[in-house]
Amino acid sequence: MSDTAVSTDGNADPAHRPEQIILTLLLFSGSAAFAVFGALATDNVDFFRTHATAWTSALLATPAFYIFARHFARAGLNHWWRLFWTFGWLMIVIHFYFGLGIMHFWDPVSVFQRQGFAVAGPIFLLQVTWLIDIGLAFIRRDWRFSTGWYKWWQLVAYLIAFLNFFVSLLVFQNDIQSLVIGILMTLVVVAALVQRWSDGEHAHE
Amino acid sequence: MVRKYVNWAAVVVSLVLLIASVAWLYKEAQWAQWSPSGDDVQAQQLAAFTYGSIGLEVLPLKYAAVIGTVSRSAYIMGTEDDRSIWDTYGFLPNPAANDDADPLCAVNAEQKLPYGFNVTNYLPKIAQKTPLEFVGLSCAACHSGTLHTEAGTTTEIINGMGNPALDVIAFTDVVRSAVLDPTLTTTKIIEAYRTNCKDIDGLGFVPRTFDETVDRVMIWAWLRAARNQISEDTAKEGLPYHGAQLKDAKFMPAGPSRTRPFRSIIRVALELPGEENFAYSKIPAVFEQRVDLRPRSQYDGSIADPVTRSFVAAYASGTSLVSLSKPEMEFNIRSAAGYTEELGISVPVDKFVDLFPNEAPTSDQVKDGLEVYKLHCAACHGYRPIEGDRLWAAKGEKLHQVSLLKPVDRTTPIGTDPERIMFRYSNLLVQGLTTILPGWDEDLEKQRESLKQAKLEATAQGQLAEADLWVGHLERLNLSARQFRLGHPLYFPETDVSDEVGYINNPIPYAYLRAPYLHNGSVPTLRQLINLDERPQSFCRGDNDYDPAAVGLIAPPPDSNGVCPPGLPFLFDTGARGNSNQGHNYPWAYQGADWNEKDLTDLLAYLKTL
Repeated sequence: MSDTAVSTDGNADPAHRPEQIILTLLLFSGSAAFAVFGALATDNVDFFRTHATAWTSALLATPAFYIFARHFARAGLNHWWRLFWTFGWLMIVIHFYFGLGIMHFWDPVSVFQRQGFAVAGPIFLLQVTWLIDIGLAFIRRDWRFSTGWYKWWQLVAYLIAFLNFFVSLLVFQNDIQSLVIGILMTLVVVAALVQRWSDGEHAHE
Repeated sequence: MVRKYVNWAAVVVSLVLLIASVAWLYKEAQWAQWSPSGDDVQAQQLAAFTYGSIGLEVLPLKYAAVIGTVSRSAYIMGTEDDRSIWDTYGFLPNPAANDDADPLCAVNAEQKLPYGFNVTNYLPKIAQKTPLEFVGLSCAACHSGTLHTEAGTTTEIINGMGNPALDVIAFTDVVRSAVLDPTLTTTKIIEAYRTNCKDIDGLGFVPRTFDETVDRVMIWAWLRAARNQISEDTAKEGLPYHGAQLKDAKFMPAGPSRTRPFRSIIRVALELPGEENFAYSKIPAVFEQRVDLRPRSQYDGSIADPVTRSFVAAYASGTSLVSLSKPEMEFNIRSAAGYTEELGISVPVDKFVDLFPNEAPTSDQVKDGLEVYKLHCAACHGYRPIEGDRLWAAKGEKLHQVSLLKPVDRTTPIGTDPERIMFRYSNLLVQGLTTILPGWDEDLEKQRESLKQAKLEATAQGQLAEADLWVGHLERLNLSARQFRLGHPLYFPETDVSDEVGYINNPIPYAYLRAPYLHNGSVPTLRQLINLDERPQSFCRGDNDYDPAAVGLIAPPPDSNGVCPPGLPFLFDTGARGNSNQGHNYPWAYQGADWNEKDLTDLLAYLKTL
């Protein structure tokens, strides 16, 4: 995935094709419809929607994880990253609505009571860091080649998101779907890191 | 150019999916809006009991409206006249119905459906809100009834008594057969409904409205899901019976006014088949269930809390844990339980003399009868004073005690049929039930520990399959704990349920509304129960007339060929397993030593006043 046109100004937004927006929008819409209507064929609609929105958020964010792991501080992020990162975040907001609003009756304290601070804390932290990171990606011109504190911020936001998904999907092993998506997401990131290393090796040759 | 069209198509598809998803979520909140009505607690409780949803939605309303025509072959038994499906299986006509000849349709459903039915937008089993209306059963569908006499008088509906005519198990098989009918289609339902109701619902001008299209899609989806579910259940429940089998005790041994609650609860709580279960129970009367009068309920006293009792009743009847976790259902279960606690105390119930003034006993008879009662009955049942506020006196040296099954010969001390308390898996039920609703935090941990302990004990005893059962149960509990994050709202502590291998001695308010008698309904009248008359060995059941003189049902014997008349088609044979009418020979066995007709007549007079 690379942008079709590269700006001569490294910090300027590169041009993008409408297909990028359309494809990510389509994936997001399809995911939302899957969560809403697929639930009607299950035994517990709210439970399914809570889980399905988490699965699809992870799936939407996975291309963004890949791009970030491979290109961050190297070739630079791109529109694909920003779009998948944004729609992944939108889906986690819907997940938050079902998880906190429906399953926990808008009682955040009960989430901490039930899951403990070590698990619940990062979940709430993710809602904040991801939101801020999306905001920054749309208001800062240097979102592709960040420097200084912003560079560190992007890295921290990325790690918080990845670790949240990793723990929720793979460590907790709630169901087979989570396990499969968790493994897929992890393999994709590992592949990106291998390619990043390989890119570096080639650059030195 | 092609690329442009593809792009536009993708945009349109995306927007349609998004708008449909958002619109569906928005409408979900509108389809089944609910909040407790008003501030009058007693009115709320009455509403919950009589038509509150407890997750027992059965059929789409539009199918229920035409089931008599499109699924006629599923419910016709060949032994009765041309009655409606509701009358055939003993549901009560709704007093709110007009006398007009209009058929049951969506606009008049709440008046035309039988008493105790409700109309909601909840999908059966999962209580998911949908645009389609469904018909469901509330507590009153089973726990209310009327008394009609040979003279042709019929009382108004009396809440709290078990419906003596209701054959709910046969009705369940009818529904299963009807839904499995391969010729039943969405089009058949919609066309029949349109024919019946187009003028009443006002569908005449635009026959294919948007609403009807939605109905078609929803009924199609329901039919498909219901068929899958019923087909899946046949592995555990067998094929449904049909035709004359539905009222034949050889096939459907429960019959009118009885259920097989433990067959059901074993199926749902333990996920085991219940076919070997002969624990027949009369649909119980639910008067004066306040815990000071009745600290433990059920015939064996196995459940302590009225709310837990109501939960178990609804759960055994087919509702799901998910349904019962919805605020509306939880509220209705709690409110209906509250209603039964006060029913007969602050909520008035007709007295015998109000309904049958010509059969009113004299005050001398009642006075003398109280003395006989105090001598022979009050120790176990307490008594109701004949003067003053007449609140039940919950006093008696054996009151609230369980008469335990004798381990030597497996008989009960009072000699009544033991099947109700000694069926297979009864020893596993408490463990299963107390871990079915996940608690929260420490309660949940206790449940997990108890299942682990049960597994260890079963393993130590060599009960390896039982150990595996508890392993599966623990997995189920853990899944439930994830589904109900803060614990299930109807969670109950383990002390609420116990394994009582015996029958409990409890008060018997409104004894005249408890016919047929004994826990298995094997004695038609109160005269027979106290052995003033001999108890019949076999009798015919259906929608029997009430005999106020004998205080009970007029249940004629079968003809010389052992066949019952069409109006009372179910042959109750007290020699069949689970049907024994023996025992509880108080004050005396029929014409045995000390048998005294005068005292028994006085006792009957007093019992009429309870």
